[in-house]
Amino acid sequence: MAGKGTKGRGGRKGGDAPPDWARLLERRMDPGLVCLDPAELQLYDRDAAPLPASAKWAFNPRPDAVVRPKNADQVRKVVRFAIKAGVPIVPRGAATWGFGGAVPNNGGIVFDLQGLSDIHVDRDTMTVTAGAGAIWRDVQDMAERRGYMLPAYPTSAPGSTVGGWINTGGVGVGAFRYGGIERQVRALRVVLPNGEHVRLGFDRVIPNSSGYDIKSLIIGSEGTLGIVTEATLELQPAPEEFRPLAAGFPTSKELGDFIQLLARSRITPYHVSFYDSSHLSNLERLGEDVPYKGGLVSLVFEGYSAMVGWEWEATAELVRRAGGEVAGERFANTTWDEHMFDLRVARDGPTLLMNEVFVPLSRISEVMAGMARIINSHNVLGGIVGTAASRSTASLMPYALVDRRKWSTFFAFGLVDEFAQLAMDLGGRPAGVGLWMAYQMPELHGESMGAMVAIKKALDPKDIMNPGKLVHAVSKFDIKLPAAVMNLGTKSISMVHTLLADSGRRKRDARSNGSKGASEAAEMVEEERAEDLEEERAAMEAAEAGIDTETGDDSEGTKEG
Amino acid sequence: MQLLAGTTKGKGKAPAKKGQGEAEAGRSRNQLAKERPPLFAEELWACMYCNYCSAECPTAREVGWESTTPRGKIRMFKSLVDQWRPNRGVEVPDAFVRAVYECTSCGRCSVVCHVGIDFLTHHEELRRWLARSGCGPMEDHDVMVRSLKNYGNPYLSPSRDRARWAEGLDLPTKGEVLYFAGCSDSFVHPDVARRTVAVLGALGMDVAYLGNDEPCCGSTAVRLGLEGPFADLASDVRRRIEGSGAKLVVTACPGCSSAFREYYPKAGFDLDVEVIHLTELLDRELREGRLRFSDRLPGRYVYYDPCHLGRIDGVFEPPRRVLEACVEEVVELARSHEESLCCGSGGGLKTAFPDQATSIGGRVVEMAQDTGADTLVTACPWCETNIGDASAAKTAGLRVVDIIEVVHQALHLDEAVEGTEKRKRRAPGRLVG
Ligand SMILES: Cc1cc2nc3c(=O)[nH]c(=O)nc-3n(C[C@H](O)[C@H](O)[C@H](O)COP(=O)(O)OP(=O)(O)OC[C@H]3O[C@@H](n4cnc5c(N)ncnc54)[C@H](O)[C@@H]3O)c2cc1C
Ligand code: SF4
Ligand code: SF4
Repeated sequence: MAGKGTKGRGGRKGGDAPPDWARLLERRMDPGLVCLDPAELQLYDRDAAPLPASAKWAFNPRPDAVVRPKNADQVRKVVRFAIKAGVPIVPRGAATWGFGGAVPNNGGIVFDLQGLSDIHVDRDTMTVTAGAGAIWRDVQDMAERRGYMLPAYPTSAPGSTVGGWINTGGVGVGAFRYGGIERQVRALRVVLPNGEHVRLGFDRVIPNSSGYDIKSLIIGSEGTLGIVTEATLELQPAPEEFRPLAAGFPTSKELGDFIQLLARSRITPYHVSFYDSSHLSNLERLGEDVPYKGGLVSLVFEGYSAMVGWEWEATAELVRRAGGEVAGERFANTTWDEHMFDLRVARDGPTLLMNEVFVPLSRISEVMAGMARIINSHNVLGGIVGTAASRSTASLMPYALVDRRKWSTFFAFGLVDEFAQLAMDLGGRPAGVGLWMAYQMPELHGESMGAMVAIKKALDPKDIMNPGKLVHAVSKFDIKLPAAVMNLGTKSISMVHTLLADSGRRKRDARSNGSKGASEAAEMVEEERAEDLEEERAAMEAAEAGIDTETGDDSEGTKEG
Repeated sequence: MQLLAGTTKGKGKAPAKKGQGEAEAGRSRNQLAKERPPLFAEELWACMYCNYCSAECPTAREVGWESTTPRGKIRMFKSLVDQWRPNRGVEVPDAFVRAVYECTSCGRCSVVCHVGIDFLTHHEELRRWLARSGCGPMEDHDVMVRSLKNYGNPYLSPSRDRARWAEGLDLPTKGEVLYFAGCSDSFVHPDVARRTVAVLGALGMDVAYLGNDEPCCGSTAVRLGLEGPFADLASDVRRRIEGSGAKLVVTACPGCSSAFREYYPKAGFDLDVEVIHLTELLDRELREGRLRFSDRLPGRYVYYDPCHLGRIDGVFEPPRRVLEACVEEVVELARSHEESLCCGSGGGLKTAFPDQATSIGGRVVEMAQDTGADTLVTACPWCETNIGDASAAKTAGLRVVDIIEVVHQALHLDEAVEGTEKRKRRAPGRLVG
């Protein structure tokens, strides 16, 4: 339907004129695909992280255009346009990640990919093929309706997309038994930064083989190597039984002991999550009945009932051995039922500041104690939600509840960085990088950084695919940011001011030199004018000759590879 | 951050919107709201941007742009609240008005919200604020607003036609059990009204009705934020129900039942009678043994939960029990009960955005087809119309009926009642919910 859904979204008013290339994009693409309305664009300037306004001093998170493709061909066409115009591309799923991956560092085209939402289950190969914008919960529902289960999904499944979790290399529900997203992907379809739409991996058989595993490069690439349009994921047969177990512990110490006992046993629950005492008291403040004060673990088992029953009993024994108490069935069920709503504590904030880190499972009690100290030192409410991501690794989401409207909150943003630093000091690492943590990449990846940069350069020589993320920390003035600037805590304030002072000069420079891509875009506008004239002439000639001019243009299809 | 700054300058009439049905020439609208915006912004600050609401919102799913998602709207709302100043009010851009009305009032966002933001209630409050300030509803709703004013119903139909469904039935206008037909069943689904009366009659209930004097319940006025018209209709309804001597009011329309039970008390119009939805009454009769079926109708049926009967009023099981008692096989949609997908017609969406409404209804049709059912049964005239329209548009061949049609057929009452065919003449243009 032409223009469907764009009513009232087309115009642009006031002195907020879009760049020439954006107008050109709008004219060249299918109706309803491109949006240049400033009120709409403004809504695409953030993800789940509630950033302080100061972040906008360093970055220009508002896109110049948003496209909302409904199929891969539209993605490919816009990418090709962006390559030609030298305009940044920012892939965006549902923007539920909190590291700024889907937020522009300096305008450009945001691809809102939620329109790529088809889901298809293949019984022969026991796989599900989903559009990159499909919501995880819908994929899960479809799999269940066809008699399968999705081995892994993020706890944000009711809101986040397949492409988003793949590009963050996520770990979530099901990780203990089946691993993170990297273990589920058989094949991806990706529009690369050269405009080709390629298949990576194999749909019908497992992807292990000789040959560079490009598919795996894409997983966790945070949208810097291409736009995923579709993913083929492995399924598991639906289990006979799903059975939760909940256990309360006196303190984080016993909780940690239990998780280690579990990890070193042969018991393999589907999922293990845990909550520290502060989180539990935050839930109590919301009026919830929480019988355990010191710490809570929620596990779930799946498979044949006989085996589930055995593992359940064996785990209950470990709980007791570690000094914990097994909760009643009802409490276990409700805790599991709420597993996608753990962050409801934000209601009390109202702002939730959080980070996600991976730490050695053997040190979780230590890390949790350290995080609690950080939270206390800032004199804010907070808590820790964690997952046993494997037998060796825990994923922790420490959070603080603050009020963003208060100026003092600016200082609390430093918490996020302190959590990451603590994790690194104890042998762990932040779970994501994105825009806000890109400055930490060298410290995180050390000597492999060089190879990463080389790969990025080889695949994206113009650096248009999600620039400023992962491998480059770049502000809107094209300055490579020093680590301290990105430390949005107390230390950073002076640096932000320095940057501000610097910004006037840089802005002037940018204006006189022309911003990145501006000259290419100007050339394109010129070319387009010439092309338009040419097209018009051709159309008139064709009409006279009775030829259809709509076909035959730009029709390179999907490549298999 | 001024999210909405610069989108609309100055005062004056909002530009006429084209392309979605035949909007009538618009009355003059304000773009400056003097009154302070509703102060619910406190709760909205807790939004953590998880997108749970957007993934479930029927209009967001349909249109997609961030401004149609509940979380996107929350940002716009907050921005407007921030911009309001006591001495100069706030400019209300078209984009904002559109955001407030591009919503079916299905309430799914309120149920699913991670932090419990009751977005539906805020939405309704905002609509009232916009209407009080003269900034809403949209021009596309004008036809409906005028219809309510001039005809006392949303269907541009003269009052003298209201009780045509009851012709020849000789119903009293006073009695203990009052059947409140509602505008939709009176003007669009007269078969439902006739069958309801026939079934209640078979159960030994002598029902009264209000004839041509039956007013609109006012639920459409509520949805558009029109407090004045709603208050007028509600007081008229209360007066006439009192005058009928009714102790029990039965209606087959969840718009009416939820208005009577939810919105009347909130607006100070408590009805001093028991109000019951038809499915609850049938369920009561079934459980108490008065409603009995000698056999079950063959076929696979799927029950669809209307938003206002289910999510808003909490009536989920009664219609299922009734259906299970009278047909061979009842299956569930992939999304049912609290998770039911909106049919797309509510909140005035079908009036202002008819294509969107039909397209949303199409998703319900697809889901129903996925179950292999040949008949979708609902208990709301708005849903019946919109899902029926969507099924026809898709040439899906899915039969969409009100539950009373199934009950009526299972009781073998068809032979006994004449005039049960659907009325061909529809309200001009479109319908509203
Ligand atoms: C309540 C809550 C719970 C969460 N639980 C988990 C959890 O259990 N595990 C976990 O790992 N994370 C979790 N997260 C973080 C986040 O939800 C996940 O990482 C999620 O999968 C991101 O998906 P998205 O669609 O929102 O991606 P976005 O935030 O839109 O994007 C994330 C990154 O991927 C890129 N990207 C998105 N789509 C594409 C595409 N199609 N092609 C190329 N690049 C793309 C973006 O550029 C960006 O860099 C949670 C978040 C919330 C709010
Ligand atoms: S009430 Fe329904 S249509 Fe309206 S915003 Fe909420 S989910 Fe969307
Ligand atoms: S579900 Fe609630 S918290 Fe999440 S984005 Fe929607 S309104 Fe915000």
